[in-house]
Amino acid sequence: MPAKLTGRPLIEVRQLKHIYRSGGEALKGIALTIDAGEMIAVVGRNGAGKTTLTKHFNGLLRPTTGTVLLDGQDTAKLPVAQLARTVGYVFQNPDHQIFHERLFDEIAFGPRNLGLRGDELTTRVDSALKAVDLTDYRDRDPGELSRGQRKRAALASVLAMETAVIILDEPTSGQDYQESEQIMAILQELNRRGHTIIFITHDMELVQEHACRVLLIDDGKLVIDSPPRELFRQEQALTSAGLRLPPTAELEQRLAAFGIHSDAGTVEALAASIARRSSQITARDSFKENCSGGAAACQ
Amino acid sequence: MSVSIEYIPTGSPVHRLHALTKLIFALAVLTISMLLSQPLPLLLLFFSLLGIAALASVSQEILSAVKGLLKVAFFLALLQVFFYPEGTVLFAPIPSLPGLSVTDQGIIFGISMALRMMVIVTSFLLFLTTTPARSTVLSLVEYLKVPYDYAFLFITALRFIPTFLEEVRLIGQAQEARAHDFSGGGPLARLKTIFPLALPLVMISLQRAERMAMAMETRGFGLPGRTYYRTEKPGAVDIMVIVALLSAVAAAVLLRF
Repeated sequence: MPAKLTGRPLIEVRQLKHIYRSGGEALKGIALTIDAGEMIAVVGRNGAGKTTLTKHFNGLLRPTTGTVLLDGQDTAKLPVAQLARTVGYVFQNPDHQIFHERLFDEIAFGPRNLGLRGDELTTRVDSALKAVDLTDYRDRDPGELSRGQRKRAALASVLAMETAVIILDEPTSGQDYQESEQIMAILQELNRRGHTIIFITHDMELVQEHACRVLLIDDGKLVIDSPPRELFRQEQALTSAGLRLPPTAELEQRLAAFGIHSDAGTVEALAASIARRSSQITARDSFKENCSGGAAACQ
Repeated sequence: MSVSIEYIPTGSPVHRLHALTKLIFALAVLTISMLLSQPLPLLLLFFSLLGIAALASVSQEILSAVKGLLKVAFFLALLQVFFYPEGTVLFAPIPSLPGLSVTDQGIIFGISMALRMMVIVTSFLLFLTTTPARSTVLSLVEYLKVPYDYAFLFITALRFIPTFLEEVRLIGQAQEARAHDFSGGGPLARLKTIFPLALPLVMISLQRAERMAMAMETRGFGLPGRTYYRTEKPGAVDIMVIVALLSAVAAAVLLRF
């Protein structure tokens, strides 16, 4: 269900630090707020603290110091099972959760825990299965599914809980291009219907195409919190965080040095501005050739 | 109670001893503690183990383990004190049950028993904290002629304990995130709540084992004529320590009989 708009931020993180029992300081003081209905990408190199941060949003990890408020309530004081009513979390590896012998039951596990029974349960599970294109496998053993399908099954098992917030840890890893697109389309649709989506990814093209806001985490700190287009202008920060611009953004920047400007971030827009520019050049060159004063006079 | 029995690399003189030497040490201490029956010599033996722990710079870990052991030792002593039948009766808590009386010899026996347990456990903890599992297994294969397959089985099992604990943690989180409550009701209900944790763990472990078997075969595991990149030979110090340990055991035997 879409979150109720209360005016206050849905998630509020204040001076969050997390030190693992092994002694590693994974988060070194993070502050941010997330409003209902946002679509946020979390990026950064492996080990930067992306997963550690997002696991605080549903209480899987508790702050060492600082606070995380979910809809105004301190997550440190509530059990995960209760927070799970508001925040769904899809893990990176689907095999960490699949244990039923029938896909339907696997997807129904979360909603059942929330107390759903009967027709409503069936409806929810079936529509989640439909969303991830696994309706045909409804009564099959999830163990028979391919890895890509199991990944989507794990997504469906959280979708069926219809939480206001859905967090996904690398939702498209191990998926082919079509499957990735399909997953992102599902997330966009959910976002359109009012769900807050937070996804961790290494794929900068996904960020460019699907996120409205990016959190760049490096070495346990929130380095940049901005829309993707602004992030891409800070190439230095990206590089030092071990990331690279998506190809179209990089090409845009290179072309800007030649006076070709485009900022739509799509291949089509870039091709169009290059074509526009080259027709200008061709026109000028033909002028040059025809110029009676010769090339020297033109310069 | 979380007692670490992991290898702690501190590079001390004790660490530099050969795995075989330290294994013999643990076995020698075990034998001697069996031969000693009085609390005082056992206590001395125990303190000398703590001395060795200090020499190996693993005192902190050993002491925290000892603290945990104290409770067990206390109950062990108490049991012996009440059920040891011989000796002069000091007092009987329940007069109608003469079997439960406390005797002077019972007290001594109980304390010795507890100390012996502490000595044996501590000596093996010392062995484990100062010797990498790999060295132990290699010395078993090289000097005690244990077949490598079995040794490999053992090494792999040790190696995967932390990995499995990490998997358990992740699976637990994944199910909690789907509103699963692990702390449900009575013993039977609680047993049922374990399924969402246990089943993925079994599946993941099987997958892992299969992948590992393939990876091992592609790298030639099982071919005859295995050689070792690292060979560790006992040095002069090792020989001296082993001789000293064996003489100590011999002395303890002579004193006892």
